[in-house]
Amino acid sequence: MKYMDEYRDRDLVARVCDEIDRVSKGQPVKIMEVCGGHTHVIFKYGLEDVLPPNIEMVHGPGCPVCVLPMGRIDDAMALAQTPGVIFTTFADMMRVPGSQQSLIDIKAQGADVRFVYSPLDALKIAQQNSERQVIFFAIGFDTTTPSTAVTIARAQALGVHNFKVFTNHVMLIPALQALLDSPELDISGFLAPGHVSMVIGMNPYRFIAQTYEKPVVVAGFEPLDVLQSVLMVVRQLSQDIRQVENQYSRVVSPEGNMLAQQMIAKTMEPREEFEWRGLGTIPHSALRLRPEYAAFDAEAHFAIPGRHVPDHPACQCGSVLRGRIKPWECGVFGTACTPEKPIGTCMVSAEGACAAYYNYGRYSMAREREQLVHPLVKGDE
Amino acid sequence: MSPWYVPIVSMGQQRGDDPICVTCADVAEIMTIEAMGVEGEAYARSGFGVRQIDISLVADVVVGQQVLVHGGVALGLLSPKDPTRFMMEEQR
Repeated sequence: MKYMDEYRDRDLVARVCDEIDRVSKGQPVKIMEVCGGHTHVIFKYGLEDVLPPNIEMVHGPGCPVCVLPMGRIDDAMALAQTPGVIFTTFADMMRVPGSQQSLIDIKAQGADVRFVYSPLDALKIAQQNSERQVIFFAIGFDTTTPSTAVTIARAQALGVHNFKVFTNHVMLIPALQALLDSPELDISGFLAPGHVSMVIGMNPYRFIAQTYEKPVVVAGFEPLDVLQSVLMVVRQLSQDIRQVENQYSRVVSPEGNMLAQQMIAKTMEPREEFEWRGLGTIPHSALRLRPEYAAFDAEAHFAIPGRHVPDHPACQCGSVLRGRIKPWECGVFGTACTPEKPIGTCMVSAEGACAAYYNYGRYSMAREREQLVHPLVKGDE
Repeated sequence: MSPWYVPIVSMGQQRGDDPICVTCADVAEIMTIEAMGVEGEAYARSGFGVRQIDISLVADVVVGQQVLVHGGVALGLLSPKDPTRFMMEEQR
């Protein structure tokens, strides 16, 4: 299949891995793949097992479901339980646990919660149910924001005033800045998300290379895309170069999608601050509707609890998202917390690091455990 | 299983056996434009059949072109010229 098979060639994978091994010369390299989509590909195809052992992949905070704090999920459930409301959401959000229940729980209890493929589908539901308020639960990074922005503009153009948006869109760049400012972070370079970059372009990453002196490679989502991006990071490190490179040039342009950027700027503006699960409160890291679109803002029309809800005390999603621990090092991983019954959000979404480890990472997990145990055994000897 | 909660991986191609929410994830689905619709809309085909999509955020879309779609909105065009492939050939 075009654009797939050619990026999954077994011989090429072996050659690229050999080249990574040759260029990196056994030096330890830690690369954070920011995007949950990359995390999923790395585990699904066992890429950690074919990479040289000196290359460590650290799984970053790029899963939009995972970074949403529990308080906002509770807010969504309060909106969904408002009499007369049709609450629409993407499928992944249905099972995300709030402090008491999930959206799928309250749907089972009678709330009118529907999942949609696109916010434009939610707008159609509003047009078909003009006597009821229809709320769309807008979440996601810069890739998802344009579809919400287009929908809001269309709702205004069509005068669909029973349509509202509960906006939780977050931006990648402020989160990366917060990570880079964290003294705990020990990362050699970054794989930047391909489809976020399709929207924002490559320029917003330049500060990472210039100020923090870390290589950045915008990466595609096929196995060879990811491995080639790792090779590009390793080459930069070996040649002492720090720049933003584009591996995913079949999709990403340096300037990004200008029309999408303009549509977002027209309908939304940055919030003063926003709470991220695992990363704390980050200034100017999320979006809200501009005042001229307040007619479509759920937060302006409904009473929202807005409570801060701490994570389950046993859950270590925060440390996982910052790359401080591997998912299997969390005390509840795979026991009390599973994809069937998640405690933390990293176990809910297929892109979450914990779910990816649980579904695909058992060999990596065994190897990492062995590496942890082995030196102790040697030391005892 | 709902059509938007699909067994896919990577750029939205319909292959694999694990469900990913294409809209929550940083996934874009490759679709081919089948016909133009009214005012910024088009009909595009993916592995699931033909769907109406919004093309107002991509310029100069024509029938037969491959676009990357996220949340029902086309966000990019797939370039037939891919320098990555040449780099891969070098590797070969």
